[in-house]
Amino acid sequence: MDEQRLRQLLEKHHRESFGWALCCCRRDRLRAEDVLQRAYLKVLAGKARFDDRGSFKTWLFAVIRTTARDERRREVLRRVGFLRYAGEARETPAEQVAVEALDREQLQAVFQKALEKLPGRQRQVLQLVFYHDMSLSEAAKAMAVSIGSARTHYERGKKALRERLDWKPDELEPGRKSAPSIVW
Amino acid sequence: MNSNPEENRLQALFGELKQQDERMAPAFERVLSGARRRESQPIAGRIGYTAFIAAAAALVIVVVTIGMLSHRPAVQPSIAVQTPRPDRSNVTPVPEPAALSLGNWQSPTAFLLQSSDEWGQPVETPDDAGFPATRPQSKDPT
Repeated sequence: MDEQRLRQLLEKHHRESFGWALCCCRRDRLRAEDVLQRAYLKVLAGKARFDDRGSFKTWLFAVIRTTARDERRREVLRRVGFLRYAGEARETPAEQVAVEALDREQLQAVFQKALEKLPGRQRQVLQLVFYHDMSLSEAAKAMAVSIGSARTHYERGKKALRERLDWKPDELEPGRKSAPSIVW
Repeated sequence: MNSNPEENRLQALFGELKQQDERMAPAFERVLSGARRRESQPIAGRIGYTAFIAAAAALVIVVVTIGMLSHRPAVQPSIAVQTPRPDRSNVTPVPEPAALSLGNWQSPTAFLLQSSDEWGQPVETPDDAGFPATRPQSKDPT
């Protein structure tokens, strides 16, 4: 595939690629942009080659995911000896606060926080399915895992989100307008 | 669209997140030019990472080599000295220890059971003090 064609395809998927890079970088915008640059460089320089089998988007997402993973490792090496996450807040039952009737914006913020707290694989598979409209088998390809493993992460991720967002069965019924109560 | 209400809700939340991300997504040209700049830059950045790995590998090799040398056994002479084998024909065999039989066994406190006669000496009592060791023969009343 020539560079011009590759560039067109990258541009076509650029916004979604950025969303995926954000997911792989735990919503760190600067790092996501950096990862995207590196991934584009790999694609354009021919270090990552698309072999025309399967979807370009799935392949590109796999490249972005591995680039983000490498970047994370590099970051760990850079910070050897430093407690990077020392100040990171840890969720304890005492800190859980019940939030009632959140408005749309707040709900989105809480949802994003809940998403961030999910293990990487669970977060990724949910993002690929619900955000990028991929099937489970496509998601499995992008994540380089078996479809069975992807399904397991998908179910566990949904369950974890349901618990974090404290969705009750009656709140999930169609037609209900109020926001769900969220235990955080 | 999913029929599952939970999935519908997740779809809506992810859809909103997607819109938010798309609004703040950097322009494609900007990311591409950043990638191009990175490509044209010297490989200093990459060298840093590679150098770290190479230094770590070299350190491991040095440590392992030192460890192996320090625990190496003393060097044996390559030519073994020919020493004459001792002539074992004149060596008297060491007698085997006598087999212990139950009949020969003695209790460690067996000597306490021995009588004075067995010792061969008369037992002196306080009444005997000052008298000759041999008692006079009692007179026969008859």
